[in-house]
Formats: sequence, structure tokens, C-alpha cells
Amino acid sequence: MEPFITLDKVYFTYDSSPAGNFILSDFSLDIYKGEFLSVVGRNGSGKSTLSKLLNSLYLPTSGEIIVDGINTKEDSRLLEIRKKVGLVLQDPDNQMVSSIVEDDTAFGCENLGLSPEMIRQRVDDSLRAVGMYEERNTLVEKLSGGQKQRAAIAGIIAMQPECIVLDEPTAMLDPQGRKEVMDTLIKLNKNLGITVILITHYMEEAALSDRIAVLDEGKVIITGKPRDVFSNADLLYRHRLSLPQVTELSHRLSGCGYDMPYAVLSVDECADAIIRLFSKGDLL
Amino acid sequence: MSLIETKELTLEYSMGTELHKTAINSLSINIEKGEVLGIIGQTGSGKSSLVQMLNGLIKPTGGKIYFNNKDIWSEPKKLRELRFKIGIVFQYPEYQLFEETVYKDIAFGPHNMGLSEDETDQRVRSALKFAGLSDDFLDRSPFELSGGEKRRAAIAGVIAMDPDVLILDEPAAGLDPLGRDTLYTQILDYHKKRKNTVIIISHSMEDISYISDRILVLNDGKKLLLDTPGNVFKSAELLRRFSLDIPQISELMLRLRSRGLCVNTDYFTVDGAFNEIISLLGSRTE
Repeated sequence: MEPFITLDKVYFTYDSSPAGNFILSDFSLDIYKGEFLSVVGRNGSGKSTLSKLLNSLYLPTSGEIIVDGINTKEDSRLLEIRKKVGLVLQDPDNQMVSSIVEDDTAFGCENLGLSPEMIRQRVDDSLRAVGMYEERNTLVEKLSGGQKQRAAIAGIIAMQPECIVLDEPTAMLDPQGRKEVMDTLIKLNKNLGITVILITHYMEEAALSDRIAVLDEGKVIITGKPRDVFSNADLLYRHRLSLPQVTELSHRLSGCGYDMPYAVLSVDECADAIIRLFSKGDLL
Repeated sequence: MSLIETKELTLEYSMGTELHKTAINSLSINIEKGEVLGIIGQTGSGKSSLVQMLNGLIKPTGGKIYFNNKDIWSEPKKLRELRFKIGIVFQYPEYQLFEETVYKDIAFGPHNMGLSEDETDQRVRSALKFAGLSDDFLDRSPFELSGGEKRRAAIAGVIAMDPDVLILDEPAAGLDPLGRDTLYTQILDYHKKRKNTVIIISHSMEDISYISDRILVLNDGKKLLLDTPGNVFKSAELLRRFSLDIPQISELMLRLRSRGLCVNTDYFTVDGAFNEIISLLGSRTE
């Protein structure tokens, strides 16, 4: 399968002096159309820089980033890249531009020069897709954190990008808000086929994605399905990451010789496996 | 005797207008000297309003707050002194840093308390160490630090005042898992050495369950629960009804129990659950 985004030997530094240290160095990664990719890594591992490179807010110091056949260095095609890849930031308050929800959602579309009818249609569709249609005339300041972040996502989707990149969109949210945003992302990915690149510190969120990329010191350490990545517990600990509690518990039980399935991902799975351990105990 | 006591504490915003909101609604709680109190609740449940009232930054519209048995608003002139005793680290540390260097920033509090240069210098250095930053940071601008480092610098600035009560509003938001653990370990170490009272607001049940002696669950400005972590997480259904999470391990233990396994549901850490399950398995196969 052709990758949708290719990062090829990307180096990036904010400091162009010879002594400047590289935030990303020799960074290569393929991202496929329609996938839900989570990017995890300690603070300072280069995650946020990566998000800004993907839609050409930053350009690589060396190396190439190709988005759907377009090199992000091609200045004349900047708008095309930004239309394909939308970016949602951590703090929703920093990305809302209007005081009414639907005005905010329409902002990006208005800049695309669409007809008013088309804008109306797209705004309504996007607000429905994130479950914020009923809130369309609400004051932005009256929204909860989760609602604001969903409204911000609606504004991006209204531009009909093929891919959305989210830089820790749930870091400022409470558990309810976090769940709302995750449910929305999964729905957009599964129902609309939008490629989702989620940068997060929450391993429980990463567990819900198709694939995880682990970053450290500006490089990709490992990529794979959540189960495969989580089975490398020691590698994750070495790179200052943790596992979801139930995954860690099941690792430790299998470490003691108990028959637990390969990298448990959810509470249900873990409960089933433990119950099985006890029913086996009965047979002995 | 409790260190802090609130009696029917109430805070209303924009009274008499359309934007009227009751942030804290007749809240009566006790905070004991030397305890670590965790506060959880949804966004908008009143957590930040509550802690800002505790050190007199916001004046309540009803009820009383007692610190050492004294109504803090009985002598508003003494509030300044109270703020040296009850220090708050806000949720966005970048808003709290303003000086040219980290040193000056941390020294700001001790200076205002009228401490000598020598004592200030000592306070700055030990606070920096407590917050987990090395001496190299002292001459740097706080604005060129990473998010995690800024947070540490802001915490150091409050610790330098050596407050009796240290309040931290979401100190770990946006930190990576190990950064989170390190920060909490440092706060707990500081707490153990100083024997001071620590109040921590967090969205993460898992973090808060590890560090707190008691947890206050706020909902809509009211006290939903105030109890030990074990007892709070036993109320899983109640917490879920108010859109709050419980640690994965608590959920697991409750699930196992409901499926007929005789586990103790007080555990909310991986260690606790691991030991419980291993010992149960051991007794089954013997």
C-alpha cells in the first residue's frame, strides 16, 4: 500500500548554529491512508514538532516529507497540504476564533472561498459528526473543555481534510471530556475514513488505535499494533513510558508463570483472563 | 483541630445576571494538618475556585473559611500573611513565571516575605533541588524552558516560601508518565520532610489514588464524597454517574468481584492487585 505521508530521513532543529541540537534526527515513518496512528513518547521526544512538520507549519532542516505526493517544501502548494492535513492543538482556547460555535466552525471554510450554501452544509455536517450540532448557537465560553475541543475538531473537519493531526487534544480535559474526544476521533476514522494521527501521553488512548509509534530523542523507537508495542514492556519503561494498569498487571502475572494472553488491552480482557486462571485452578 | 475548615462556603459569580453561576455551593469540609488531600471533579465542578478561596484570592459570597481556627476574612489586612502560609501552584505555570531568570523568579516570594539575601539564596537553591532542577537552570530565562521544566520552576517558586499548605492545581497535566511519577515523588518527599499539608487537584484518578490520604470528590460545587482512596473508589457506580473515572485496577477488582471472585476491592494500584491475585491463586491451588 502506498503511504499517504512519508517522512524520509527528516532532521529538524530550531537552532541553526552548528552546535544546535536536533529535535528530530534521521526520522523516517510512513503513515497510511485511513489508519488511526497514535504517537507516544516522553516530553521533549519530538512529538509536537512532528505534528507541525506534517502540515508544513515547519519545514525539515534536511530530509523530505511527502504528503499525498506533495513535498511539504513546495511553497506554491502550501494551501493544498493544509487542506489535506488539519491540525488540532492541545489547548482549545488557543484555537477558537469566534464567540459562537458555528461561526468558529465556519472560519476555515470561509477561508477556502466556498459558497455560503456549501459552508452552511459543511458546518452542519461537521457539527453533527462531532455531536455538537445542538450546541451550534452556543457561546464558545459556555462550553466544557471536551465540547470546546470537539468544536475545534469540527472546524477542522469542515475543511474536509484527508488527515487530522491532534497534539495531545485531551491533556487539558477531564475523563468525560477525554472520552467524548476519543469517541469522536474513532467515529471520524471508522465512518468517514479520515486518517487520524493522535499524539498522546495516555497509553489507554493509544491502546484504542490501529498502530502506535513510540518516539524518543527525535527517532522512531518502535511501531506496531498496540498489542505488539505493549508486549515490549521493558523497552517502553526504558523510554520513560508506562503501560495501562491492566496491561502491566497481566505482564506481571505472566512473568510469574501464569497463563495470561499476549498483552492485555482492556479491563474486560484482563478480567476474563484472570477468571480463567481461577477456573483452571479448580481443575488441578 | 483541623488546620483548615470551611463552613457552608459558597461562591456565586455574576449574581443577578444571565451568566449567574454557583461555583461552590454550601461546602463544609475539614482539612487536617499534615495530610495529603486530593481533589477531583469534572471541569467546572469548582475545584479551582475552591483552592483560590482557601488562600483568600477569591472572596466567598457566603460561608466561612477558618485557618487555624481563625476566620481568614475577619482581618483582610492579614491576608497577605496568609498567602505566604498557603501557596498555590496554578494549572498553567507559564502564567506564573515572569522574571528574567529562574533565580529571580524563585526569589520573588522569599524577597516579598522580607527575608535576607542569604536566607533567600538558601531558599532558592533548596527549592530548586526539591523541584528536581539542577543549579544550571538558575541563570536561564524561565521562558526558554520546556513545559515540564516551567512547571518545576513554578513549583520551586512556591516551595521557596516554605508554605504550611502547598496547593497544586493539576501539577502533572501534559507531563509524560515518568515525568508525572517523578514530580509526584518529589512532592511527596518534600511533604514527608516538611510534614506540611498538601492539596492536589487532578483529573487522573490513578495519580491521585497513589498520593492522597483522602480524596474530596466535587460535583457541581458540592461535596460528593470525602474519604480514603479505597473507600472513594468503592463507589464506582456513583463516580461513573457523575462522569468521573475510577482507576483501571479498581474497575478490574470490582468486575472480578461481581463475577464471583472473592477479591478485596480496596486495591487500586498494580502492586496491590498483583499481590491480592497471587495470594488468592496460591490458596486455590494448594
